[in-house]
Amino acid sequence: MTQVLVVEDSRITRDAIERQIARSGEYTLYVSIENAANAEIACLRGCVDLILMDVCTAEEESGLKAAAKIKQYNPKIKIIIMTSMPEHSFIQKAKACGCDGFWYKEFGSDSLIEVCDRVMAGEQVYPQDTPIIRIGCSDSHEFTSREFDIIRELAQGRKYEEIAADLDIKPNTVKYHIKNILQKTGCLNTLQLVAEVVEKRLVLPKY
Amino acid sequence: MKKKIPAKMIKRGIDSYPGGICFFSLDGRVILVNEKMNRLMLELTGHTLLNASGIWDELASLSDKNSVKKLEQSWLPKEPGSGDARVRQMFFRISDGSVWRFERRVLDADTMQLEAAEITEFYRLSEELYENTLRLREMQKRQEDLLDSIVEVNLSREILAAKMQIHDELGHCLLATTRAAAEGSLAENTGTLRENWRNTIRDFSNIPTVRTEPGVSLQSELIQVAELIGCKVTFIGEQPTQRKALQLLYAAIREGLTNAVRHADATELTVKISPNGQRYHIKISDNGSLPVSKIIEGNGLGTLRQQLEQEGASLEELCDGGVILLVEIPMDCDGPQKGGRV
Repeated sequence: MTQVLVVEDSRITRDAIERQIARSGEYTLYVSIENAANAEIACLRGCVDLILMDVCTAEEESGLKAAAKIKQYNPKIKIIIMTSMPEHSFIQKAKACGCDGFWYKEFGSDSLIEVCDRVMAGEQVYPQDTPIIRIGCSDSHEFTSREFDIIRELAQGRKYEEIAADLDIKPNTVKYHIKNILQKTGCLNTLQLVAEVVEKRLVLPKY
Repeated sequence: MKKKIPAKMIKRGIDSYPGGICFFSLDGRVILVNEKMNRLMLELTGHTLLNASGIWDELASLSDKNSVKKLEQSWLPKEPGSGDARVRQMFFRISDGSVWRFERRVLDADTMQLEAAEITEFYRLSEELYENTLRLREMQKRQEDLLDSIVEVNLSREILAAKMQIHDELGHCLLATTRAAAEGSLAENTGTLRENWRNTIRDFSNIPTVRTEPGVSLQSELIQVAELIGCKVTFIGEQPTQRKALQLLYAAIREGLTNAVRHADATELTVKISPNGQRYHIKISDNGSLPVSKIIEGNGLGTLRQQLEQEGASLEELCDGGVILLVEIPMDCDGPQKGGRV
């Protein structure tokens, strides 16, 4: 039986996941926790085969950061990142951490157990793309990756000069990208833009 | 070739200057003054400029009249150098609505200059800039609040979605039961209907209504996970009550626990907390079986040190056979962060 560690701070979602695990016949629950920072400790005795890891967990601890630490010492443990946030960078970050799969709780058609089966069979299971979110007059997939970088910086309250320094580009290039983003979305200013992307959870800089 | 310029020409020259200008000696005796400055002084003080030192004091103590208002807002467009002790500035709005900046400046050991410049448009733009800055600050605050609450909002959404699903399942059960009763097939479907109702009621009873306190859940989950891997965590002393201090404390405990189990196969971890003045002194020790003579700070301890130091806390590692972590956390670390960008 595959031993599963569930990291999920919403009790109702956790219960639903635990029920799916119990029904599967292939998997058995090792433990369920709310805080991703405790996941590494739970893996210390080598009893965990698979982790189902939420991104935004209790005490604002990031599941992605916890996954990266676990993979560093336990590369054999399979990790599937779960989220209901359409945040653009989560898939890239999960791949960079060496996670084995990614499952959207509210989007997509694959069931969690299907994703678990494929991951345990050695497959890397990632959605084709992030869910498409409408920002003003534009769909999220119309933004370039550089434009996402700029939006992320703006959401952290950075000034144009700071964005330029962070991304190693000129302030005029930052202005050029911002002008393009505002034109695409029809937002009147950057604050309106940031309020919308954060409200629709397209960008969550903390995680 | 030297050419002497007649005094009349000089006077005509400075009279054509659009602002007010006056040169005077240190005792206030006027050397040269133009028409505009005299007209401005007449409006402000009721007389022309006779003694420049006296008139500056008069301007400084001028109270608002119907037609003239002294301006003292913090955002007034001050010229560079206005912080210099040799330069003084004052601002007035006069009867025609125009705004004037008066500046007194030491030119050399004997001479001073009084200059009046019209800055009406500059003043309007400065006021607009100030209001926009306030509005932006307010919007930025709202944006930060939104960022802080978005995860909580999402959690509520997830719970709401689950509740809606249960509502649908409940409706489905009711419909199936009603239909079976109406069709007279209740007896033959009893097993299926009972199973459906049982699942739905179990889901229904699982909806959380009470949220756990952050401190309580921090401690209980860590202890639970530690026991699961065969390590007992014992706390001695009272834990911090501030959220940030608690988070730092538990970050340190996690690091100590991870290292103690991973590298020394420890089965017990002791956390001793003693408040001292404005700081918490924390000692984290374990019963690890492997002797340690030297610590090489890796990613874990390095990241912990960085996290602690960002909040004004500190970390010290002691090698005394085993490893002891000594952590100091300020009691007021819930305040604004020290240094760096948020």
